[in-house]
Amino acid sequence: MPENNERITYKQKLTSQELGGYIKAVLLPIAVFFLALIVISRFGAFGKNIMAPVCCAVWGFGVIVALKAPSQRKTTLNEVYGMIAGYCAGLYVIRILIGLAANTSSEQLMASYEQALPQSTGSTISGYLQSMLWILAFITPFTFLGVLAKKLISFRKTAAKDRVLRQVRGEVDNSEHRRYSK
Amino acid sequence: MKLKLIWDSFTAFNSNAVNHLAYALSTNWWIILMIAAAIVSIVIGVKEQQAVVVHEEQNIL
Repeated sequence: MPENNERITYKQKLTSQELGGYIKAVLLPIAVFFLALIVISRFGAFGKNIMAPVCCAVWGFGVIVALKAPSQRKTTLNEVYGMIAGYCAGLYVIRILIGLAANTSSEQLMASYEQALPQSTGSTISGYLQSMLWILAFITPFTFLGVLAKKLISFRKTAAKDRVLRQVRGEVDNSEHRRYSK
Repeated sequence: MKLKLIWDSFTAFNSNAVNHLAYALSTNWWIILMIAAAIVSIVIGVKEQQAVVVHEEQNIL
C-alpha cells in the first residue's frame, strides 16, 4: 500500500459573522464618505468652507486617536463614523426645513395655529433655523473633538500608570527591547 | 432602440457623476484629505478585524 504523505488538516472556515465584520470595516467608511461628499456638494460654499474642513478635522483626529489608543480602536472609529454621518444628515435636514419655512407667511402661520401672530413671524422661523444651522455646524464637531482629546489623554495617563505599577512590582520593562528586536 | 436609450442614459448619468466628483476633488482639497483619512480608517478597521479573527488549523491524523 503506497504511503500517503499528504496531511489531512482541519481548518476553520470564515464564519458569516467574521465576514460581516470585514464587510462592515470596508463599506461603512465608504458609505459615510459618500454621504459627507453629497451633503457638502449640496451645501455649496457653506459646505466647502465650513463643513468639509470640519469633517476632515474630525475624521483625521479620530484616526490619530484610533492609532494612539489601540484598545479603543474599534469604538473610536465607530464613534467617528456616527458623528460624521449624524452631523451631515442633521445639517441636511435643517437645510430642508429652511427651504420649507422660506415660503411661509405670517398669515399662513396664523391660520395653522388659529392664533394672532406678529407680521414679522413669517421670517422668524427661517432665521431661527439658520441660527440653529450655524450653531450646530460649529458646536457639534468641536465638542466631539474635545471628547476625542479627553479619550486620548486619559488613555495615555492609564498607560503611564500601568508602566509605573509594573516598575513598582519589579517586573522587567522589556518594551524597549521588543521595539528594537523587531 | 429602447435599450440603446437606456444605455445612453446610464453612461450619461455615470460620466456626469464622475465629472462632478472630479470637479469636487479639484476644487476642494479637504475632500482629498478626507479620502486619505477614510483609507487609513479602512486599513485600521480591517487590521482590527484580522486581529479578532483567529483561525484554528490542526492535523486530524
